Amino acid sequence: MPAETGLDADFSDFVRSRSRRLGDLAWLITGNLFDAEDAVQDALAGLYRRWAKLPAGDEFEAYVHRSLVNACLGVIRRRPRTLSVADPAMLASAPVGADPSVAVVASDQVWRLCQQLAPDQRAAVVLRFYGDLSYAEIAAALGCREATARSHVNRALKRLRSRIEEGK
Amino acid sequence: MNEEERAFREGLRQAVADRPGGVRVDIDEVIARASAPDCVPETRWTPPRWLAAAAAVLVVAGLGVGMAVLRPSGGLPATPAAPVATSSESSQFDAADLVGSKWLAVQIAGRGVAAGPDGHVPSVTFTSATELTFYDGCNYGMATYRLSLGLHPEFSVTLGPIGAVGCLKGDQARFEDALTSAASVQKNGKLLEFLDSNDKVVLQFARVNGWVMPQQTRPPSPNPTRSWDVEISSPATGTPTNPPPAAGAVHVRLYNDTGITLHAVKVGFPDGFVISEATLEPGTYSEYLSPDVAYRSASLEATADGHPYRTTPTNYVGEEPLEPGDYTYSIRLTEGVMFLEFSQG
Repeated sequence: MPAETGLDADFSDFVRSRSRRLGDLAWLITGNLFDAEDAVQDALAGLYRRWAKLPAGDEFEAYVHRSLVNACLGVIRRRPRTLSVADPAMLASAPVGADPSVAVVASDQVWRLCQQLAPDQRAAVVLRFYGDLSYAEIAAALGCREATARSHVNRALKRLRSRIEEGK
Repeated sequence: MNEEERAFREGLRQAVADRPGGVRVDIDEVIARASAPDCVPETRWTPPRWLAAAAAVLVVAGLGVGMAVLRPSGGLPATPAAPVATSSESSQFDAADLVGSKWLAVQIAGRGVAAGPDGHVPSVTFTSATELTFYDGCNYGMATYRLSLGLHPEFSVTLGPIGAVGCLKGDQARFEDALTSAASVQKNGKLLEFLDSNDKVVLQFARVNGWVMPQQTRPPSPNPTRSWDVEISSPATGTPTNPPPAAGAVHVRLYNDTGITLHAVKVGFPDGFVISEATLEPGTYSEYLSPDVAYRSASLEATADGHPYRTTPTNYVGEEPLEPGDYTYSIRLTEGVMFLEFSQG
């Protein structure tokens, strides 16, 4: 195996330090491991090609998130629509905590609700509540206006509120 | 942070914590993907349902031509083999014409063809003089075929490996049964037909390559919902200056949000309506056009920087026609993926 160039070593460090978090985000957005892996690989491949030209600091983070979100949405668009996210088999395999507490029920509701959201809405929610991104950062990642990002999240929150109230 | 926000935060973390297994990242594969010449993420183009329907309509327009049994190479002489130049010509052709051609099913066992669960249409592609690949509406498969020479050409298909994605068994089986029951093949105008041993047409296909949409402006039609012509609008320059469209109808336009010049842009809907732009400069809109029916989802084809992009992002199951109003399809290109973003106005 050829020795790593400086660029490769730098990129490898980045992948090692960030791949887990990127993988988590991708899994939450795409809803399954296979697509998440595909999306992360796509996003990283795009980053690698532009590695030497990428901006630094906050702009770099924004670029990374945008690459990942685009890759996730691309995978979602490309995948066959043979399985609905509302498919009972998929719901059965969705992670559900063992603790039968209200919190776990709510978690389950969150997961199920997330899978029913439109992909860009789901990405906004995941970036907001798992990625802890600001609305401005989410807007940059989604390539939309901040108001749109805020709207995506608020609509999801509203739906969750309805679900919780229905369950009470 | 309110209750719902907390629920989301905890719910997503819990979901990740409970997830069986992690997301594996193989850095060697990443670098291999990045280095591949076709690194641009694939935007698969399997012609959507409307394309097959449009092809069928174009073919129907050319009916009235004589039926011509497919003539194997070296078979009957006399009539010179000729490519089908127009739909009104006689359509005898050489069996060698099949090799390299792809055909979309327009009818299976006497029934019209619906797109598969992923929005794609069953098809066959003749990859050699003895082999073909097919898509049964769900799975891809391989098959061998035999076209005998002589006065009575015979045709048979033997299925090989088929993909294993589980779909609607009935639709798959119908296509595969029809394929394997084929005993002869003929051309009917621009249609390719497989017939069973009783000379009953079991499969009807329209050719993908070589099928050309007429380049004309759509004329007023007494039956507009069945009009399949192509709309060609003039290249746009900046914000459209055409007068505001009439109220009470659907008006759609394109916006180039890619930052680069797009060529040969085509955005289509299931009923066959296509918005076509020879060139669409970055940051510019097309004219508003008025399809009879439009949907949020649309197929897209364009060329940018010499790269063709084609995508048919969704099937149209559950899609409702848009209400009368003005809509814009913004074409975006990010990370090598071109797609449409729909908005009102």
